Amino acid sequence: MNKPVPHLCWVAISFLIVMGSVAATNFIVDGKGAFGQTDDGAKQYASALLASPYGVVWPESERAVKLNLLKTVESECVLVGTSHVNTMHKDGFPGGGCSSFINATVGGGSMEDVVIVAAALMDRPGVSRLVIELPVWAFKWGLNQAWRQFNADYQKARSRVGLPPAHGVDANPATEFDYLISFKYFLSNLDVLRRNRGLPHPSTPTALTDEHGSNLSDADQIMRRDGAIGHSREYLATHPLPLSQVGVGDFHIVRPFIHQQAVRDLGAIVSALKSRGISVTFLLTPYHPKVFECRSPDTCEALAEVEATAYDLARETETKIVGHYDPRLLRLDAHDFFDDMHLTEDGTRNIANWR
Amino acid sequence: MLFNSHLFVFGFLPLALVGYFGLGRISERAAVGWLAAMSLAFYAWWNPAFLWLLGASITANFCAALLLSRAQRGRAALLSAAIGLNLGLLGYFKYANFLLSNVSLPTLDIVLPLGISFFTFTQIAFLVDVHRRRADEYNFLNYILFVTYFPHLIAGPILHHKEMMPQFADAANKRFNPHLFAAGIAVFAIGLLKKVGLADHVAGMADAVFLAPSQGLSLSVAEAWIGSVAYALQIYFDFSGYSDMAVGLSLMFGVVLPLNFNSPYQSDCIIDFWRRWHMTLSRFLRDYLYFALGGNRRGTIRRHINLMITMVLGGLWHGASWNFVLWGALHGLYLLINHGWRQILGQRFSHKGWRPFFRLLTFLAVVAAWVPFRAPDLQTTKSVAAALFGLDGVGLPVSWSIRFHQLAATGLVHFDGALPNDLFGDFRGALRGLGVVLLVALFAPSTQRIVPMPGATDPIFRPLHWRPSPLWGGAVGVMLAVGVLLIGGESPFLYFRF
Repeated sequence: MNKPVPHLCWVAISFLIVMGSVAATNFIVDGKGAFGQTDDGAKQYASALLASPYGVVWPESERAVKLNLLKTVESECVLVGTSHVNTMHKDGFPGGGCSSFINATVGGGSMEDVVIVAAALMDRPGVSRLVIELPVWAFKWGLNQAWRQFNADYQKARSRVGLPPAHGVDANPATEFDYLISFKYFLSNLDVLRRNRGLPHPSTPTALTDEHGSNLSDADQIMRRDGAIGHSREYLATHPLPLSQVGVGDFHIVRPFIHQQAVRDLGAIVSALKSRGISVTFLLTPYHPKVFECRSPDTCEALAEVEATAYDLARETETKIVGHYDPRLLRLDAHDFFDDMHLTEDGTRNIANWR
Repeated sequence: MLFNSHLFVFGFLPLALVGYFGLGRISERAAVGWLAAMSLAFYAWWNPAFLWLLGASITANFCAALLLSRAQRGRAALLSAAIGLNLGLLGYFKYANFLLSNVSLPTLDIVLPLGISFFTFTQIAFLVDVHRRRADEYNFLNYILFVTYFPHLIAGPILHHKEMMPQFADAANKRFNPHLFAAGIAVFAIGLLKKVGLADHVAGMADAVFLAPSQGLSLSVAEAWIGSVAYALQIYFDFSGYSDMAVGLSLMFGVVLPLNFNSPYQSDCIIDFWRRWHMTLSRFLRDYLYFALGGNRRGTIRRHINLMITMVLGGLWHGASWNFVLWGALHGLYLLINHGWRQILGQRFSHKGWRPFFRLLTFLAVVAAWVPFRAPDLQTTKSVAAALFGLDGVGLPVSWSIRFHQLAATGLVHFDGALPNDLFGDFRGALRGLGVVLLVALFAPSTQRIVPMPGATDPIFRPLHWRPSPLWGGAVGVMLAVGVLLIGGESPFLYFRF
């Protein structure tokens, strides 16, 4: 039976079945909150986190959870930045003396993250101090697309901190329709389903029964009540890395190292925050001493160029700045690092004393 | 607007089809007008500011063709003037800055209009044929559609008026033909999968390798070959994917476009390669340049010179840079060697057993020639080519240094790793993906061997012979859905910049 009209009907039917299945999965699971479905999950997670004295299992959608914490929990001091300082608690906060604290850092945190957090804080009356950690890729737009999942929030946030909408790569953000029929999003949602044992949204996260999470499996990372990460026993068994395995620190090192527009935009964000009575501090966290052997010459060049720019911006905007990329200036050594660019918990505890 | 975008698949295409066949029931001219208007909108979506240029080019060429067809004297001068005008326009937008930079003058702020090479060459061919009394066209609307027809406007295939005009004038084409429509969807789905599933998959590997020299990295032999093969596969599946989509889209409208690819990486020699790669450009260059230069009618040496000129200008057609000249010259040289080889050795190596060897040799030669084509400048070309041929020494895994330490003394080998720059992330996964795409290019049947199409000469590949059956309907629906689902961010076709 080779008739074109029934054939075309079969084309349409199979097309619709595949598209419908993918769209339904993407909409129902919505692992990254493209349709706002994750908000409830994030709220539920944040509630469980606050009710747990030692923290809970690390969430898949850390940005959604941290945004929820920022919007709902009173805090005097907030830290925004990258995984370089994701272990910091309030005792490491530069200047110290915080009555309450939220670690709002996220993996691969970028300028987009600073915008979102800054905008969220401008609507929170209790926040008086913000530390912005500046990684070597701080002065660039578009390095991390993770915030595009919160596109509506992001566009509003840009406007809130006085930046024009649709900057750079965000000129054509993915729409809800793009997410609905994205194969990539479908795969990530299948992964969410697998992790949640077939449920579209995570069940209440497992709370730790003690400081070290003895009740968790070894691979689980931990989120503490203040948003800081707690490393699993499995991670701690293999870290700090032996010197031979320490990398060259070239994560996100791509020329040009600085976009001047991003420098100007960060200056504008700082001014907007100060006008709301929030004091801002820039923080530079050091790299492993081995990185300064400059096996990756670009890394050394980038570190020097970005640090000089950060100090210039601090001077121009009259903003306090602490820290350096070079650990020798802070009297740190290899023992203070897990790997090429992450401080140990003891290492971050000393940040409060840096100059 | 891109064929591989949700806006095109769910918005533009259904609107164009419904309007065309709906109006086709009422009036033939209305249907042609609708398709022409939609084609102009398709072009304007990229940059409406250049619509005037396209409009002016069409109007001027149509008027020139009318004058040519009616004139009794001075026809050669008129043709020269018209071609000069077309080449002048192309020269200004595409080559002015190339010339200025080569004489160290400040360059101009010029934006290259999309598809200018394609619509200019299509019209030059038309003018030449009108001059030769092989063509005439007095219907302006049909002519607008001939030039702007959206499936081919941006990146070909380069159309010949005599294969298109009768189709645009045929009333039957304005009525929905379910068989052609079904074949069109199948071809479109295959093309979409080639682009988003294969070409985009290997693009990152090619980009990483060709970016590395500008970042001060020294490439190893393995890295250079992986990057070059990745680019060879990227450009093939990108452009043949685009061409399949164009042919498929056109079939949906009941119009047959010429084929543009026929498994070029399965060629036994370079001569064969050029019969299978970008076939409509090869046809144009042969008919309007090589033959115009005298072809092979004036002796062997002149034939070789003509061939070289044709290939160099063919290279320059792709873009204004010495890299494209080098690419064209390399292929010219390959063709000369191939012709010389045939002349000297005749049928001596014609046994089937030699075929895999010649196929591999041809593929490697083509891969090496893609280096200047892909590299952004001559310096990068030099770096990648030097690595490709091991001129900087062959990098071997560090662990081999104990067993083969004597080799280090030759200076030809160094043990700092086969892939010292960590360009590919999950290298094993990336290499597996590249291997699969390579196997498809080297062994899979061409689209026209799966879906029977007018103009195809190769026999149908029986195991995958498309028919309008329920089974194939289900398969095409799934392929189309997977293709649409794989559409990620904006990923323009490589040939859009030519």
